[in-house]
Amino acid sequence: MDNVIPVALLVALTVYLIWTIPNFASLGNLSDTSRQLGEFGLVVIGMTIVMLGGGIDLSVGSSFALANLTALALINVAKWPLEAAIAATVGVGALVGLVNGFLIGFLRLRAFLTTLVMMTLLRAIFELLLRHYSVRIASSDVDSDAWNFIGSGSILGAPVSFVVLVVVATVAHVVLSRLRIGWRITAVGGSRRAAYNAGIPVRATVCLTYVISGVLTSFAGTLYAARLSGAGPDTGLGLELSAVTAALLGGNSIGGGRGSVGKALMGAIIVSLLTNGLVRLGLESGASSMVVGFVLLLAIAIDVRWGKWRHKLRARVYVSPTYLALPPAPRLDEVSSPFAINDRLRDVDIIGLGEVDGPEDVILDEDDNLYCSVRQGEIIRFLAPDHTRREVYAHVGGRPLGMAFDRDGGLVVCIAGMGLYRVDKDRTVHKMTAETNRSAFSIIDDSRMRLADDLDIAPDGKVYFSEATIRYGFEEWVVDALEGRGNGRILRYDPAAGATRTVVRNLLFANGMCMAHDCKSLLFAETWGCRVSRYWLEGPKAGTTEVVIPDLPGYPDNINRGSNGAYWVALAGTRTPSYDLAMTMPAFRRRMARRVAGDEWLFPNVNVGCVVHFDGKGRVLETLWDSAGENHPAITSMREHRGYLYLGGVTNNRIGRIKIDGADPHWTGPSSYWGDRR
Amino acid sequence: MTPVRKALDRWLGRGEASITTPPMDGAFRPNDLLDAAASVLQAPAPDDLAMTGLGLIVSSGRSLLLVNRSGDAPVAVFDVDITALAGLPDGGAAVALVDGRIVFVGGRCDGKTIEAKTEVRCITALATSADGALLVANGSAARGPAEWKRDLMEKGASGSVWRLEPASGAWTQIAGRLAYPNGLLDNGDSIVVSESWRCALTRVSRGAGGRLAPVLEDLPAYPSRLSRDRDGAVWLALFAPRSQLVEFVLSEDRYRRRMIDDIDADYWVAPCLRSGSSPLEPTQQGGVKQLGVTKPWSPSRSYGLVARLDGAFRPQASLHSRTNGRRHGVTSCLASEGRVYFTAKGDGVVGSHAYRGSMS
Repeated sequence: MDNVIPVALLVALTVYLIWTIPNFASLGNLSDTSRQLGEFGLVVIGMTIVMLGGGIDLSVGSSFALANLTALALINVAKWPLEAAIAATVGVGALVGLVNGFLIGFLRLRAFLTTLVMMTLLRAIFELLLRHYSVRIASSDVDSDAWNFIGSGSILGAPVSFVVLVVVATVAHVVLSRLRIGWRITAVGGSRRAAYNAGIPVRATVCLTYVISGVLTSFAGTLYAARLSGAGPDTGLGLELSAVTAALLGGNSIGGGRGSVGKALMGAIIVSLLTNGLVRLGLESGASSMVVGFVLLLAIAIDVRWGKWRHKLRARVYVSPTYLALPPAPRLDEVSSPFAINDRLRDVDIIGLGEVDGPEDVILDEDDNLYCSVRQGEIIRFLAPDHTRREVYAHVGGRPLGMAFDRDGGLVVCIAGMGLYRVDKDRTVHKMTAETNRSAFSIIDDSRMRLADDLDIAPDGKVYFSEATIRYGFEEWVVDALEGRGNGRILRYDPAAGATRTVVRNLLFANGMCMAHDCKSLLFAETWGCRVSRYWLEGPKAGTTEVVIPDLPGYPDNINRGSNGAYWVALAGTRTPSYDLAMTMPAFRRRMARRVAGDEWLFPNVNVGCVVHFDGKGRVLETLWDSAGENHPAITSMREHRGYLYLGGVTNNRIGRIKIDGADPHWTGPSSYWGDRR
Repeated sequence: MTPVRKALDRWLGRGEASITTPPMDGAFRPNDLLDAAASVLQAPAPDDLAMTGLGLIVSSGRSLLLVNRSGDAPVAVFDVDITALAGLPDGGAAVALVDGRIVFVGGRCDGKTIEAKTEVRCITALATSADGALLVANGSAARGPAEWKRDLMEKGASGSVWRLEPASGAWTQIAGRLAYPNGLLDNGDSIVVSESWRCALTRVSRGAGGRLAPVLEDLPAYPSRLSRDRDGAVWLALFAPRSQLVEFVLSEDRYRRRMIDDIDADYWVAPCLRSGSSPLEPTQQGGVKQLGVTKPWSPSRSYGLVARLDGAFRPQASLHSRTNGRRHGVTSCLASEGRVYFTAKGDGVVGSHAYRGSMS
């Protein structure tokens, strides 16, 4: 989105210049322009890197002139070999950058004033040296094919300096966007304090940006020397102004932290086209500078305003509700319905009342200890046999959600904002995975996990886990509900290969995950779709999904195994006619999101508790309700264990326990998964 | 320019079309006084209060009950529901029924029935006039009192105020095109009417064809019955809170139409006397129970509110039952001998709270 304005400007400018200036698009002119662009582009890239790190480098013009003179003096007068001369010139540039960097990065002087002084100082040195060498440079002649080739040769029809620019730009792009140092520069520019707190060596990073700028500028000066073989008092004069203009105009932020090489190039092209075009339009050189100055003012104004508006604008266009028609809701008031309302969950035994904050998932081990994942980023354990003693089993950070025991008794946890983690039996916490393959055509980066929700483990140790939505974090799940879009997915982590792949995409808030009793398929819940589906892992339908329960009366959360080959699914809330209607009217919801305060948004009824018991074919056996939500509104998880059902809720402050009639009093989850496989 | 701006505002949701509700502040600052008030009588749906020679009476469904003697048999039981009451100067009471009849109980006219008038089938309030006539508020020309929610969501404004001569049974219309008049108070040369859907009190002048003038506007809740105590203070019951969401739905014609046509009225996005009694009711994001607690400040479709206004109808103080309270849907209130009585129709309670000039 940041690129829209510069691209539009570039297109408009090009069209205008071609239209008004004859032969503007001619090969000769383009070649000439691109040769100058090669030099200018390098300076702009350097400037962009400095600005990305939160600084500014006004010394580039003088530094450019100094490099030009150095190169000419070494090659024309001192007759150094070409390689040594270029290396020495770049060395001078690096030294200038290092001085800048030392003063600004380590002594923490102001970037603006420091480089301004440096500009004046270098200009003075340049003029002193120029007096000494100008005649000798002009009178000497260099007979080097390589030097001439750099100055006026072409590679595949493109001027050498332009090719150099393309190579440098590519490398710089990769460094800035893919390598650690690039991210560090961006982080420092975005927020020095946060970068410091994250352990980034802020001072060295800032210093480095000036060194890079110095190197690139001196390299550009060398190319200029090769092209013109001369130096004058106006060499590099006003270059800093053009470079800042170009960097800003391309869309790099003057405040740091936002920018790219692509933007730098775009800005460089715009400014060179503009200056070139102005000269050809016959404007005097003073007028040309004036225009560049005005453009700089404009660019600064746009940068500042855009920085203020972009969040608002983004918030306006980011939320995009879609049409979602659910099948007719089953009736709750008919006694014959398997979903008929009752109050069987009203009288539960309560565990840990007020001692847990939002136990999203509960799980029990073979020794009857009860674990739950709570808001503070902890796994809380209630010790067997009576579950009255409470301890912090492990601090994992983030917002832990779904849990499962693996073969070795390690607790695998989905953590919103972090990914998939494992707590070993000795309570050490390990990261299993936090990223997956990026989708080919996704605009937002969906390789990182924002909201890992629930998981289950296959007999071969592969972990299947759900990411509820790729567009929002845990705190914003309500907005995802408002969108009603298939933003969720199922991922598979293979511990043997250490690799994570996305296996199913476009799910309506992928939530509960449960390995079927025969381990041939995976049951999963799509919360906004009010349905439970199956993903086949093996057999003739391997790799396909099918719906198991299409019309739940509410919004399913975690799914877990029960005894006698059955399953449990928690309903975090009930469908309401008013919300179902709203889901079929996306424009209504979009307007609601914009005009009504978040706390006032229409919502499904989550002040109700419900757990549904179903068999492997998707037949509903019974439904347990807390219709007024007295003890258990918004149940998000339940586990059957030795004839009892344990209940957890993401916004609740207690865990419930209720005896289940007809349940196998010896059945436990860990033995169901690993009993005969350990 | 104005129509263009109006259309633009509507499109962008700003200006007059922005979704705002008055805050509960100043005299309407929330408290828990309604919940702290003593429960005087439990009844299925206590609706309107009136002071008679027998004492304070309340209507609940088809019965007329004595408030302070809950064990006693009903004063009267009718064949249909009662919709409004008024105490008469002679100690009797006028009782409006859902089919439009007005029946007199006690007093000089005991047993007398005035047959329904075709245009007046939604009697929401009765009041006595100083000249002996009866003032009648007719909520809507199209809908009965049981369908008030529909009248609100259809943005009804077909209510009227009438004058009835008890002796002759002659009806005279005083004012029309009111947005659900739901309470009446004789104010000397004028009548003050609470217009529920406009969230305002309106003055209707007796002469000159019933000229209307606003008295109190921008109430934070939907007003209902009015009464005046001995000190000249006015008591106003407000039966449901305004909410941004409801105002928004009111501005969304297509959604509103489909909701009215397809969904049972109990499950509408609309105010109600008691919310949270069915899993099919809508909730709002801020209304989600946290750690087992319903937050008192969370948005709700029902609320309990009684306001005390001074003689000039300026709000002075108020009694609340907030989102987590159990005294919602207050349809009437009446002050007598240092206590204010109120009917929490949503929760089936008649309560009373002591006050002495001020409330604490």
